[in-house]
Amino acid sequence: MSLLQNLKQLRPLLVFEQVKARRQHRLLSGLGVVGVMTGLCLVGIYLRVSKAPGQKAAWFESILRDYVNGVNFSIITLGASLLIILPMMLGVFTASSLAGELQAGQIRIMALRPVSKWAIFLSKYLSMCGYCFSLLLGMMLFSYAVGSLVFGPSGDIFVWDPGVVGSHKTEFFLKEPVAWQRFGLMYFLSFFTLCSLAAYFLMFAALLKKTAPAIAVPMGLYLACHIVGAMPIMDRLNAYLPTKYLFIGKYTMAPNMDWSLVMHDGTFLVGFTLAYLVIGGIAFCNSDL
Amino acid sequence: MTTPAIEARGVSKAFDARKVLDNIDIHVESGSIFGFLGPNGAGKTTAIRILLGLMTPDSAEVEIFGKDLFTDRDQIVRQVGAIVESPVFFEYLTAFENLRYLASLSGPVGPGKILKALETVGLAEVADRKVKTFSFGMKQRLGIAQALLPENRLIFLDEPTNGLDPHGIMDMRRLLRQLRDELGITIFLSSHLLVEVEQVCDHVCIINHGVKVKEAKVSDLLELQDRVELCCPESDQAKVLSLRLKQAAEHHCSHGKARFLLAATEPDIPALARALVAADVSILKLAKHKKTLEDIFVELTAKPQTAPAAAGL
Repeated sequence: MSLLQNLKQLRPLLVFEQVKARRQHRLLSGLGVVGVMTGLCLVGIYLRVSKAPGQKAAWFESILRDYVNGVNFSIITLGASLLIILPMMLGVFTASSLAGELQAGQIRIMALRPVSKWAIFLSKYLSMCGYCFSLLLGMMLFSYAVGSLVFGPSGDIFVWDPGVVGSHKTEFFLKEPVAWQRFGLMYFLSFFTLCSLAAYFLMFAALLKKTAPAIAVPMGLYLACHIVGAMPIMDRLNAYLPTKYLFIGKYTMAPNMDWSLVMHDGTFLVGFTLAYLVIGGIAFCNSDL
Repeated sequence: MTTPAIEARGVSKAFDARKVLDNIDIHVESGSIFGFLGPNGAGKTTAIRILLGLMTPDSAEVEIFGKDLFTDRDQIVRQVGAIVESPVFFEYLTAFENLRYLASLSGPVGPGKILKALETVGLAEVADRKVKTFSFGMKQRLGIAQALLPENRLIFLDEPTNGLDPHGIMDMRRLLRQLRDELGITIFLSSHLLVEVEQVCDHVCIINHGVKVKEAKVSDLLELQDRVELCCPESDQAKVLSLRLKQAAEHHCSHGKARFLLAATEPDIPALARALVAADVSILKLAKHKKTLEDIFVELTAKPQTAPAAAGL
């Protein structure tokens, strides 16, 4: 079947995937979690910057008071969600979208139509990418809105190691226009991180074909890679772990962005993503339905 | 001569070392209802999956409406619908939405066509209800509606009456006849409910342990199995045996009666009656005995046992 035919088949499949996602309230659940994360971050930061007058405020708190606004509050919320919460949601929804439908036999009724298995697989991936985009957009708008209401809409920002995405341990200030650029870039690059994770979970869903293992196994491996990669004694292994190249958005949180590092890690990220898609696609296309 | 709906040769499939289908040939005429019979685990669903291109066979040549399944599957599935194993849907969508989005994968389908399909299966009134509220019978019928869209000429139904009550089974039977007679749809019906197959199918193929044991027209099969049943008091058994009737196939005694099944047809009855009267046999019953498909099926698919005591007449 030609590539063009495959692409033509994608349109109705994508529409179908969108309808299914909407009816399963996937976006609503995702945005609910985003809301909770934003709320927790808001309370956490608010407690730091609102120490009662007269108390001896630490240097960090006083800096925060002047240099936290909607922009870096949103970045902090994203950083706090990117390691566990967003991947966990992606894992659950991706597994239920492919392995769940395989297990229930719903994929079979779709495969009884003139659509190739590749098109079905690709439509699931693209729909998950759309989900990642919506989730990030929702998080960006909501966390910025909440942050700007409480801490102010804009201004110079203070950046420190968020401690979750492995950025360089630095603390520095960014001027307002640069802060906005970094804010946009952080979200933009995080989109690729989530798209790669979607491909990773989809590959496991195609390989394992059952919902529970398709959530537990890749999630376990993902966390194991993070834990192992973060232990100094095993740092030599880190270079071979797929999680090393996952968070390319971390490079936006440096005084001067090193684009060569973004390109380097980005190339690996794309390579891993393609490998996940090819392996998953082959496994899915060769499975009996 | 019309192109057969299905022409499959040498269909074989093994899972690990276990052969599920062994060199099966299937021929289905267009516009017929084809019964595909076999006990549980005989390989019916596997065969259907292979014929639909959902499973890769170890070896097979399959043509559907004259097109090769393995090279022209896309063209074939535009005309073929199916329920495999059980009717599965997206439960959080309505019946109409399920059909709409599934049918859209075959190309643009207007709402009128979808409603017509729902009407055909008697679900037009619940088109806007979510499938999760449907009974099993309703899901079976929705499965058929799904298999009809967009304008399918061949539908595969895998145990469509499983889980249905007697009314549901009768409705299903009526629906299948209607699809064949009014819409000219070829139906490939897999089942182990033999009454249903006997009543609606034109042709039948029986498989057992992955091997085809019989393929014939249902009417021919039943005709071939015609017998004449003779009942007499057990005390007259010796007299009947002494006649050495060549047609005698089998006999047994119970409750003081001897029952003989004779390999004869209705026209032979008068001559038989004369011979029995002449031998002073008290005839309790002498009538045509038609074997049901169930009798034939059980005979063909029974586990090998020691041969029953045949009448040496």
